Amino acid sequence: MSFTKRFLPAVAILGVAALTAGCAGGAPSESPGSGPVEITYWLWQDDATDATWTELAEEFNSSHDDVEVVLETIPLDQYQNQLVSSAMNGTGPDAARSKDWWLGQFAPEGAIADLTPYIDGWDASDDVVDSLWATGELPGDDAVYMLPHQYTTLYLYYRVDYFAELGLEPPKSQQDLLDAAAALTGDGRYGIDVRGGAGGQDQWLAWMYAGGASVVDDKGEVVLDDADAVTVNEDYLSLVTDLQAAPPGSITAAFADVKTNFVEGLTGMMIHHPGSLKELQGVFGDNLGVIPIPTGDGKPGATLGSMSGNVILEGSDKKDAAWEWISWLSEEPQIEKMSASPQGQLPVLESVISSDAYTSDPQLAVAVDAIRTAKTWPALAGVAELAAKEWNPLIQQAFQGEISSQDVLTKMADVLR
Amino acid sequence: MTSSTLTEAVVTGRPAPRRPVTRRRRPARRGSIAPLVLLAPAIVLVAVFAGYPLVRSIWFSLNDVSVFTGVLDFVGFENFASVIGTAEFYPTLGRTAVWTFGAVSLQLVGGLCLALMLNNRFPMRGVYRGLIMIPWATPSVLVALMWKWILDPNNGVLNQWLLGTGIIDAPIEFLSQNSTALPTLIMIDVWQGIPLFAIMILAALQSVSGELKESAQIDGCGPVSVFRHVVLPAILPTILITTLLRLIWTSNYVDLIFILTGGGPGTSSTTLALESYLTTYKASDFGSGAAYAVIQALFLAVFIALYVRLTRKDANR
Repeated sequence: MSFTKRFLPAVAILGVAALTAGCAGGAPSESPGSGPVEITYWLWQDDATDATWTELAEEFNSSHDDVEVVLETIPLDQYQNQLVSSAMNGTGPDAARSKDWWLGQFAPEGAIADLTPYIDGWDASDDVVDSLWATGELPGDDAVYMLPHQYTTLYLYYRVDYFAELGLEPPKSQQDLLDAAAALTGDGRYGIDVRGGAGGQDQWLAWMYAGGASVVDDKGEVVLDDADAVTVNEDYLSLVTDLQAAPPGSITAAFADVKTNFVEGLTGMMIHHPGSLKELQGVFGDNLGVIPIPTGDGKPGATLGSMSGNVILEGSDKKDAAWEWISWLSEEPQIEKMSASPQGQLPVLESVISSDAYTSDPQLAVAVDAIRTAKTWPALAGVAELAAKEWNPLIQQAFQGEISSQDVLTKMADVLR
Repeated sequence: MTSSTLTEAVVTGRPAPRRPVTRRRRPARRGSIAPLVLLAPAIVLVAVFAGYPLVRSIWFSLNDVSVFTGVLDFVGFENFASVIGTAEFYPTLGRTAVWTFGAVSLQLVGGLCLALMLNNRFPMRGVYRGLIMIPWATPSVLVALMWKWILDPNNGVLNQWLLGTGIIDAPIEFLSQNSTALPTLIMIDVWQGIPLFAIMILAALQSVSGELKESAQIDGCGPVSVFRHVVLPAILPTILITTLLRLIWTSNYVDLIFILTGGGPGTSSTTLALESYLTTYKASDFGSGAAYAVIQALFLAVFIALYVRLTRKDANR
């Protein structure tokens, strides 16, 4: 037998074996009695330079003999795609960070586990702000699919010096805000960015909720296109269509553009959450004002709240270990540490919220006070599609006057129905 | 003399041309597995990384896909009927054609002009030839971010310059108006794609015989005639193959559009490839997303067939 004849089949077999070995990288199964159970946890980082998540994982691994967590960080803009794909292929993590508006997509399909039995036996459950359990539930279902972890509520920033210059009072009603936006606009300055680009749906829904509109009624029926909502939406659209009070490019602007415009003094108001508070306080000092988002009648009302919680994948065969990790994350010391980190949001525990760190700063207190009345995106199956795909083109068409306030809301409501 | 050359000589009355004597390789013994073994890694790679996704996409397009359970419910051509039936389908198809043919035709013209310039002798020619590849070599994400900064209506250098020189009195919202979004994206893609055309055509230009050009000039041809009758026929195969490849790549190219406009404002810059991505991953509708992809693949199959035909001719030459 020649060398070639002997050599080639061996090479081919090795090559195919190497390829198939590379493709067959399934999750290792739990090996009983051989060290800690290893679980995989997926997360996105709001600040990739911050080491808080790594530190928490190291702390957990050193203090737990039975479970070892491995973090896998995925950029937020690819996160949902990858979670969906991995769930579909059965290659997902054991536990994962999740946003509240993904639940309507994940939970009804059986992709994430019902955490209610675990929560019932969890000592710290009484410390969670009661109203926040709803952020992990589906409409009309008492089961909890997501454990609250980090929360945020939206409010309004305004430039104190700009308002003083024009003799304006901080707006209480949405009509006040429209008037202020019109007054601020001129000489290269504008009232407020409408953020029609990526992520703008949260700012818009905060305005809608504050104006008295709802996405669903008490029975769970979609009412996003009722008469009240159409009026509130018309006011929002009028910032561009009638008042021209938004800067150029605002109908496609994402948060980076909106923040740049506010920081550089191009706009006098901006809707956002405490994630930007420290930075803006540093930039503006006493010239920064923070107030609740103006409501329809000027009285206290709702705003949008957004929960980043933790879920356990139904496909995981290490659910108990995964629960140990995510419940540990939501206990007081860890919540305190995460909320105080550069990428921290509002804590979800009464014991932490009532601490000095969250009550002494009146500007931060605007967001904290809103926790109990804020409303989230309802956990409907269509919310992910509306927020990630349909909202941008629809609202941009409305800003350009191509479709009416009624039509745009009807199209959005149809996605949810 | 073989029988065929003998016949030829008889019919034409001229001595048959002498065919070059080539040593014939001994044909591989029937049943030898050596060729298959040598090809096996390539076949496995193509099957795993191209064949399987292709077949899976086609299968998905014929099914209603549950994204989390992976359960498939066969629906035949319903997904195709559904996507073709939407009011946005034909406008999206039209935009895809404008995007693809607009960008590639301008790249071809620009690349040809640039190649002709670079084919002349001038100081530091080698440096310039290297520098022009920078746009092509820059990652798409960086290109998108760079142009986003340049075109920003409030802080971008282009608008600042236009306002400063008095050419305009209000900033142009290049990426936020229906009328300008797609043309702006096309111009950015042209900027990025011209270097490839230029380098490919330059390589072809350098293989054009100088003697032929000189002969044509002696025969009275001007520069235009020399280009038309000598240079162009020589570089045409390269132009055609590069154009076909760019048509395929550009129609599939979503990074730039996704980062700069997300398909907006409204749907004014949404192409079939972007719609396929958004439908699949943002709306989690794998069946309809795959249907968009298959429709696009059917259109591209025409270009692929032309490409294969051209390259086969080239190989047989």
